[in-house]
Amino acid sequence: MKSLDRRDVLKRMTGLMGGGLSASVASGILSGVGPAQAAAFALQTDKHTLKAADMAVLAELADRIIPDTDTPGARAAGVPAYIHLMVSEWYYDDERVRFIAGLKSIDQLSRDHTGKAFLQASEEDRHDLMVRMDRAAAGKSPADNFFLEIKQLTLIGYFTSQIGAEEELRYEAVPGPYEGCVPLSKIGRAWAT
Amino acid sequence: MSEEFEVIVVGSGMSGGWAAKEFTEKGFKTLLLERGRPVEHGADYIGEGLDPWDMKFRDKVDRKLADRDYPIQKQCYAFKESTKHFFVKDTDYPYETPKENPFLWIRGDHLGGRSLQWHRQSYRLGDLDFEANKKDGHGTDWPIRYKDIAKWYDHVEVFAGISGSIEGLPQLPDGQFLPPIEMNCVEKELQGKFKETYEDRRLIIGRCAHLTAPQKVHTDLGRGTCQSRNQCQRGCSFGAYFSSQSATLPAAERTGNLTTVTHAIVERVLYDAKSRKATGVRVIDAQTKEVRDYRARVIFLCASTFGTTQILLNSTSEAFPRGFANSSDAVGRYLMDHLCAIGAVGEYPGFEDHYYLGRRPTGIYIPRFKNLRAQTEDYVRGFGYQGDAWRDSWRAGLARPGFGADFKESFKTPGPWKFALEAYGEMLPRADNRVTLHPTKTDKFGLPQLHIDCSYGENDKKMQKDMLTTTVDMLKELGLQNVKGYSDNEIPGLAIHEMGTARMGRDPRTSVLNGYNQCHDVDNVFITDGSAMASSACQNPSLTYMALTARAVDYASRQMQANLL
Ligand SMILES: Cc1cc2nc3c(=O)[nH]c(=O)nc-3n(C[C@H](O)[C@H](O)[C@H](O)COP(=O)(O)OP(=O)(O)OC[C@H]3O[C@@H](n4cnc5c(N)ncnc54)[C@H](O)[C@@H]3O)c2cc1C
Ligand code: SF4
Repeated sequence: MKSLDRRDVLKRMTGLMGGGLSASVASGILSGVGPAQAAAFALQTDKHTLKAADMAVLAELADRIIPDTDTPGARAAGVPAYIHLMVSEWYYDDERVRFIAGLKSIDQLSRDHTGKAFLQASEEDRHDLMVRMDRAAAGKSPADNFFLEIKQLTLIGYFTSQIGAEEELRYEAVPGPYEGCVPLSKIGRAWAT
Repeated sequence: MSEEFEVIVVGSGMSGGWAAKEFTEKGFKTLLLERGRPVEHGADYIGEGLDPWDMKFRDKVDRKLADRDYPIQKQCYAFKESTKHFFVKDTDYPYETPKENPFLWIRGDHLGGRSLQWHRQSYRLGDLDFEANKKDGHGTDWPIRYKDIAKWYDHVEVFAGISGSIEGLPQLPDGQFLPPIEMNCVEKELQGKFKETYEDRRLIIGRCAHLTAPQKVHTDLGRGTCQSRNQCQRGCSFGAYFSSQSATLPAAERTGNLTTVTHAIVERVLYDAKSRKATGVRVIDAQTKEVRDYRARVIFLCASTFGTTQILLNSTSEAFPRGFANSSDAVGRYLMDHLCAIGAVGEYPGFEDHYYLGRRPTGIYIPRFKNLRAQTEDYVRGFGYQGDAWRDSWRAGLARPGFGADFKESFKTPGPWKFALEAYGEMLPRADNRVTLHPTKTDKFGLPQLHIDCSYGENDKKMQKDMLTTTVDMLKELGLQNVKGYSDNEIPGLAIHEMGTARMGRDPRTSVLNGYNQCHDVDNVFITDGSAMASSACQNPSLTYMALTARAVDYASRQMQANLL
């Protein structure tokens, strides 16, 4: 549900339930999820552990993993900022060092194969490098394969974003009474949550 | 400071809320003491309604914070960014265990206790359970049978609102249910297969404390229909699941007979050796550390199994050098949890063009079928299952090869149907599974820390083994593919069904409470939380705590009216 119309939906819900909710409860639920709170969760971080050049590579990789199609892709969904946050705040120091080394290794790999840094390589070369890295990731774990690590961060960041959940997949904040067996066509796409 | 009440209830969680409701509705001036902070229904559900992208780490708790301050609570599946304020900070709530016997104590200390975070699965115990101790000799005989508690199950189910189906199974008595929540396509299909394949195994919808069709008792309290968000542990402003906040506390408040004091840590029960009665309780104010006493005719301890045990053990006196009402030395012993985290998962072919709408807040249940009519296994008692069928979404594809437009597109289609079962087994009461007060370590209020020493016994281990093999075999027999069993948890506590440390029994020499949850040693003190349980059965226990509480209040109030208490 878009944050703008959340209040309306909650109001509708209150009505739908026969007006049973007390005023204090209704105001609580409305104020509890207001824009002020959402702002406090702004997905940026003060800690800038990745340099602009690293961010550019990261964003390019994320957007090639989940590109724009009929719906916006990773970059539009704020995935680079999410990954930046994870690397800056979630990761312990050793993990961050490993991640940054992983990012640098992309350029090295690109130079080895194309003679150019990843972002300078041709469209075709970039694609080939992605194929190569994706193949090498088969059967590995994100802790020992950088490509898999960034791919998983991208998927998580994307499908937990508003664009990924609501536009690419299906998301309902308040689904209403459960229906256990409906045609897939009625839902259309996989549930995001 | 000293104030007079007719009744003091210690703890405002699942059982304490019921004690407060029942007493105040009968007209008794009741004081409810809660060690934690106040939590207002609705207003304090700060995680409710947040979408994943509203939360910094998308509903995961900041890992460094969790590692530092919540090393135990973070192991609970329900511990999330949107719920973490309902779990204690472990650094503020220390307890000890022996190195070789760790125990995970999952707690919520705030108004409403763990009734806010519980998973709402609600099952009755039957005579299979109440007679078990007597029959096989493990544990003390329950002083009650199903007929003694049946009408109290009715009573609490009607008010709490339990949804479920009528099945006519002797091992899992039916109740006063609201309409059941629906099964999904694969569960319905498997339900049929269970019936065809097994004489004694049934797959039923989970019985849970959700309002599928609210009645007047519910709507009068402002409670409404469940909307399948399955984010209940954040708190639910619709009051669609049972909690102290949604149900028992507002019911108690509207009588005008309830006084609630939060931040009130009960340190001990005060005892008068001459009258052989408790006179009240001593409280430490959690904010000011001020100490004060409250007095009442009758005291109900509902502080949770460990909370109550701590109070009892700490309430020593000349008459009770080992702890309050502990002439039996049973206080702190016979700790049980449930055997859990063992199960299996597999794929169910077909139904590709079917799906479901909503996040169902319950799963399916398979009642106990082992050792039912006769002893057939190399262990006593048995286990039941919780589980569900679902279709995988994006999370199952994190390791999927590929990238780019087609890769992105592949996530739009839900994955194959899967079906998983997790066993919940009965743990036997053993004297060595014991909670004591640490001889030297205290918490920040100067209260002795608990020392919890709990391990699995021989019977438990045998059952755990069978839980795994039975689950795997069964899923294969039912036609599931790629069946994988798992057995994760060697550490007790995570079932969050700790119980038994002030058990009921017929004999005052071996048990703490009589058949009305009344202390054998001190007749005006009752204990109705999980510590009262003489055996654990294999069902989720909270409904039984509720029923025992309502029944004990009924008894105590009649004794009070007759001036016997
Ligand atoms: C994530 C989770 C899922 C669960 N799922 C289920 C389920 O599906 N089905 C089920 O049956 N059970 C479930 N449980 C267990 C259930 O929550 C407990 O059985 C139940 O809450 C116990 O009730 P209680 O009254 O004994 O204790 P609690 O509900 O824990 O309440 C005890 C209260 O006493 C207070 N207190 C403690 N010490 C003191 C003191 N010294 N002075 C004053 N106050 C004190 C505490 O702060 C607390 O508020 C679950 C629990 C959790 C955490
Ligand atoms: S599933 Fe039902 S009870 Fe749980 S949060 Fe949603 S509406 Fe409330």
